[in-house]
Amino acid sequence: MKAFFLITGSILRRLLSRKRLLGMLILTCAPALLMLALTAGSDRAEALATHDTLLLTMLLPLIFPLVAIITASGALGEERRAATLPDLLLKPVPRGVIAAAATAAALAASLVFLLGGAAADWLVLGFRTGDFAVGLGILPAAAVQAAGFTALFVPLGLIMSRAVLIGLAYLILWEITLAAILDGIRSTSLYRIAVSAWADWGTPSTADAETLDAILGRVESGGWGAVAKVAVMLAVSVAATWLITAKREMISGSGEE
Amino acid sequence: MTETSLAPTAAAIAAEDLSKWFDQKVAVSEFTYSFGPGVTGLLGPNGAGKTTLLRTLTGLLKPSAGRALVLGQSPRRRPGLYRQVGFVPEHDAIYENMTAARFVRWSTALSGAPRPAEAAERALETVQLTGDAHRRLGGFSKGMRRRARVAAALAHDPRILILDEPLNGTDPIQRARLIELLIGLGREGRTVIVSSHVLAEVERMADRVVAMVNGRLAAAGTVAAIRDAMSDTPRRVLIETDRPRELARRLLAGEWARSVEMGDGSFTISTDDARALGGAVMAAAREAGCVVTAVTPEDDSLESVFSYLVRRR
Repeated sequence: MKAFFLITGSILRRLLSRKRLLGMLILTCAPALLMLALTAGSDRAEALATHDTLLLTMLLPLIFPLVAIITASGALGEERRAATLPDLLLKPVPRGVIAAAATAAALAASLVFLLGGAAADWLVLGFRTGDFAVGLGILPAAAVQAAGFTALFVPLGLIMSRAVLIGLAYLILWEITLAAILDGIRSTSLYRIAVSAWADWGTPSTADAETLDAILGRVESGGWGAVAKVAVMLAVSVAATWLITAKREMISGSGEE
Repeated sequence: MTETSLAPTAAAIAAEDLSKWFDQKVAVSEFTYSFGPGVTGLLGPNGAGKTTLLRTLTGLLKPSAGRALVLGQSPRRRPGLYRQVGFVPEHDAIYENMTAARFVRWSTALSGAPRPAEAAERALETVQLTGDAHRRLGGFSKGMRRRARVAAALAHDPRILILDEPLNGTDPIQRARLIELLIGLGREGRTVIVSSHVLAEVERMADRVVAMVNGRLAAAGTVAAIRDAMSDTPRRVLIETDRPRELARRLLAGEWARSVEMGDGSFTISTDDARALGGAVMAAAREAGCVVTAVTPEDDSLESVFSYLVRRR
């Protein structure tokens, strides 16, 4: 357990460096600030409508995933690119512990960024509507997205040098385009899994049924179902990262040849 | 291969018919050697395959053929073996946001050493970084980074130390201290493998030398034995003087010079015995009243030595 915390701590410290923390929080809090500007003088219904538009077209489908992808793919990917991965691999620590620690660090850092943005969103909505219960659903939705994208992009970041670009392409092609057209693949969309958690736990749900139906299609809204899905994804991700670090060569050929 | 005496005993780390290739490029080819206690210098020109060999021996790379064994077992299958291994990589990449103290303490704790804080403090003192221990590694010079890496490699008291070009970037004083340190570690009975392309450095610290050329084991044994094995090859020495023609004429008349090529304010002389020639140059310069500004062995570099070895093979 000591090795787990040592590795988690070192990766987390890097992922939460001052510059990155500031940059990521600016990004995740931007929609909340935009909403604050757009809803000046609005009544409750207008504020809710503006909030839902920003949440469902900007924050959940694009900004939160992008921040989580950058964070997760950097957990071990940056160690590899910076050539510090041997500092972890040449230690008497099982590779499974390294995989679990890196995943934990990526998840913790993503949670900091996404929950920061979610908290800003919740506060602005509460301030504008005078009701701080109405926007609470964003918090579990952000946590679900942090977990889902961490699970996907910790191992991908380890084996691909352009994981962020691939992640961006995945968001645009799969999450935003294909899953919107093809109802059959919506259950694989992390955006929709997060929306289902938001719809279930956002008490009272702010989005109208028609909007939710258009986004979710056959995906049933359910907070615990979303949690179960991302928990399974995290377990598979740790196993995949473990296998990659144990079987693949984690450094380039050599320094001199 | 040039075989000489002083075969190592009690192999701590061994390559058995080890080969490593990347696509079409063979980096290490059928390399067999057992590294035992004491300091072993791994020598070879750039591109000889030293770094690949060390990375394969430590388990960072998978052998394409053959086996790499640490204490008789494959390190890729038994990460617990790393408790007995300290490794200093060739590059100076390091955790730039950590202080030296934190980095060494962290590395020592991960290596499973008891009381890592104390061990890290001792190791930093050994490499004389105590005064800079609380500075970030990102602000360190290349030489200081190497020393921090050396501290991290030895703090957990490993039986095997593998150092890839550990003296790169260090100043002469630190270099001398590191060499003393490595000699001391070898005398304590640890297996110390030091790669370098600078013959003089290895000569000062290594009990034995393993020479690599084009990924293959070219020679192994004591430094003196390898030198002696190459003594039948003519050496080229560049001499810079105010009167090159006069000095060259006198040297050609002596017994040590084979041939001379004249240059501008200098000449290059080919000889069978570079040391004897050195004495002859000084004597001839005194006789002729010449001022000799430099005597530089052109082919004393390891690359030249290895080109001899390649030709011999």
